[in-house]
Amino acid sequence: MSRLDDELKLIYGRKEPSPDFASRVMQQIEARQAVAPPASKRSLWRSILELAQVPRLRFAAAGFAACLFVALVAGQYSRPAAPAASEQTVTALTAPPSEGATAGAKPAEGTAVAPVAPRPADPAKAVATHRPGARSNARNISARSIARSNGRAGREPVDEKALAEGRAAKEKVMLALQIASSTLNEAQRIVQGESRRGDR
Amino acid sequence: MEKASIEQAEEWITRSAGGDHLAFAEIVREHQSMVFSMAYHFLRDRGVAEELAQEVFFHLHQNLASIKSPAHLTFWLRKVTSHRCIDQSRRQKVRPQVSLDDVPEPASFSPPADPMLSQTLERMVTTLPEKARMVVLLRYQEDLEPAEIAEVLDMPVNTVKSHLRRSLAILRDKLTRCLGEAQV
Repeated sequence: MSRLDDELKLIYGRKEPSPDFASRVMQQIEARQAVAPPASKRSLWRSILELAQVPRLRFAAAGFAACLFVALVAGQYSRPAAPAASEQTVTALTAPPSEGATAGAKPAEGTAVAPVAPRPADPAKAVATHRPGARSNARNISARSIARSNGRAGREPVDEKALAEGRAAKEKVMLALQIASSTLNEAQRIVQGESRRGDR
Repeated sequence: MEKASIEQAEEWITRSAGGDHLAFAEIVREHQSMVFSMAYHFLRDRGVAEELAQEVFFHLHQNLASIKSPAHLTFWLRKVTSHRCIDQSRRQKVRPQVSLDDVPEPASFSPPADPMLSQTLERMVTTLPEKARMVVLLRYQEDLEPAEIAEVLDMPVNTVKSHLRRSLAILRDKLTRCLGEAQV
């Protein structure tokens, strides 16, 4: 051992605090305990963090997080089907129910079960109040959706007669659409649910 | 510590955890010298060191349930004291901002008991960085091995060894300049 080591040991010798150090510490502890509020309940965060310290729960939490991630990713991928479904709803609403054929018939899988909008008492009035721009838009939407549904495999082709009827009754239905806009949202949700089930 | 005192220390810990203030006072008396010395040697201020030691014991009182044994208690006190000393030093800039070269050299070498040399060496030590200073302190005050110091300071053993080597080299170099050809 060198002289430096000896010298360092010498300068780092134990020192004593003031004689009443221990009593002052005890007084301070008692004073702080008197001032401090009674032991509060453990916070929620603290208990959650303590749970995470258990190894098994750590694995469970990791598994749960992984499942949540997979579910979110799956949800993102299935979302693009929704607009198509809404267009089908529009088609279902715009196409008038042909007597006998659609009244009692069960709707094909993937199509909407939309509430039938009330027809206006005077069709001429309805036509008068309607905007031409909206009319052409509706026509485009229904034509597109019909063409799309014709193109899809496993779907019933829409016959020309029904298409013609649909065009003729479009003005009435557009008015009904305005009235039933709130109902449409619900119908959309139903269609989305059905289309997902149909996909599976 | 002998076996009897270990048993007694265990009893103090158990009783203190159960709320016995007298037992806790015994723990304070048993360890006050170690805690205060660490704080005093590191901070070089008696008042601040006593205050810090009080805080350490108060913190211990709050964490008595986590203390498992007398050895664990000593380890816990060293760890908390050293970390608090480093924090305090950084916060209050207690460490004098003088370079090693500014420390006045003694006119001639004297035996180790020479208070002048001790004072010079103490001042040299205070110029070391905080962690290196704490490593030196734990090595020479508490007589700990590098592995034990590493555990207390949460740092790799090699870092502790390198701190020790570098600090001693600096101090030896400075002392050699003081002593001339005499062996340090």
